[in-house]
Amino acid sequence: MTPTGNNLQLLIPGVAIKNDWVHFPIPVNMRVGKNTVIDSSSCFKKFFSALPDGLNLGNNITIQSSELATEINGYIEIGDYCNIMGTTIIAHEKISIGSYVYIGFGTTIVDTDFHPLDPGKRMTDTIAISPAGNKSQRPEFSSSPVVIEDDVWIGFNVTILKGVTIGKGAVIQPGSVVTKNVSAGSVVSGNPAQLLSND
Amino acid sequence: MQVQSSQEIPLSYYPMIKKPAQNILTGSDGNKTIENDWYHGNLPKNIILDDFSYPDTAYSFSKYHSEKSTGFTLGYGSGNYGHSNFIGGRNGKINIGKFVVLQGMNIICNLSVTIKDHCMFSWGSLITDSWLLTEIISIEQRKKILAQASESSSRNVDFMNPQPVVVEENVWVGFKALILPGVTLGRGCVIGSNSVITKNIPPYAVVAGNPSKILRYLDPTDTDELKNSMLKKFLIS
Repeated sequence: MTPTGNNLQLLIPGVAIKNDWVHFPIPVNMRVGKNTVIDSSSCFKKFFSALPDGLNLGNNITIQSSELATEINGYIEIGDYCNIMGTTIIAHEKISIGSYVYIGFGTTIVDTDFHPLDPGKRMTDTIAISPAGNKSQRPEFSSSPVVIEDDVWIGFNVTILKGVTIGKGAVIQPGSVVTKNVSAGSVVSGNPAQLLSND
Repeated sequence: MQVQSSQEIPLSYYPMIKKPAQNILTGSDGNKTIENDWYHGNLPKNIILDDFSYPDTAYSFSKYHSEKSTGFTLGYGSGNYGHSNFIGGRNGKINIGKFVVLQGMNIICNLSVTIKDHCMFSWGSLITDSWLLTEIISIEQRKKILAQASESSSRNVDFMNPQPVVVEENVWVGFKALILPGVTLGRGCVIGSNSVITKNIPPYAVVAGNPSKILRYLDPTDTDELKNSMLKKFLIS
């Protein structure tokens, strides 16, 4: 039995989380700074990066009830003092998060469309990714890196889509769907996210 | 943690219910757990679960850090299903009434969240009494809040200006809807999926959208007479 409360403990490459309720491998191909904590290996259920360092985490980060998923060439980097709870981050290419970033519960950040837009290619993809298919022959689909700069605060149930850069200090209001760049210091809200104010 | 039976439901309603919805076990160390819980954690000590409630799993309290004498109550006939998250700071107080359905929803509470009887919350919906008021929280203050969180054992982010949220009786909240700080949802209202609610909602309104709009009003058919007759029908007959 764990003590009452969270199961947060220091994240160390390749070292299992104590008292974990699921047992996924903790990646060895990552760098982790000091005082960076996590609650469960469920975070790495879909961490498939084959890069020498698929994940680069700074110091003093808190990650709870979240998922860091990468495809084989996917890379995620997160700066210092970030607090990430109930968030799903999926990188086919690259997702960069700066320092002092807050990400609220229920948020999803992705750098890819996952599938082609074209109906024919999309149908082909359902066959290629099926248990009977061959994933190496999937049709192409678009991906584009996401950059979240320092001091950005992201509200609850926010969706951030591919190719977006969110400038330093911006605030993404709860429930927003961000499809375009957000300039530094601005506040956006809505679906699609619209500018509310600018410093 | 205490387990108690509701004071307000007449005792004469009880006989038909043979046993509590879930068994709470007390270990040799005095810590309480839920029988057959998949999460290997203890329940917090400062919560009250009604004998006839369904708390589901201690995981729901893994991010709960209230230091109030009673930081959480779950009333008679209320259930937590699909491991909702009750996330809170040291001053948080979450009060959930009777016959409430919490289905994979999330509460973030650094001050006060009150959910009255007969409410239903769908998956991904979230109530928070805490968020950033950008006009009064500078980047320097935000940095300080995150630095403080990283130094604490709870790692909870202590927002500076939590505002109480009140959900009146018989409110229905759809998938992924957001209820933001300071809001009161009026009795009998319906919040559409993916709505973002930033202002008070009048009783019996049907609202949807981001920003949300009132679509129409419902007839107030949820009378006390109906409630009493249904309690008798389902709990004693």
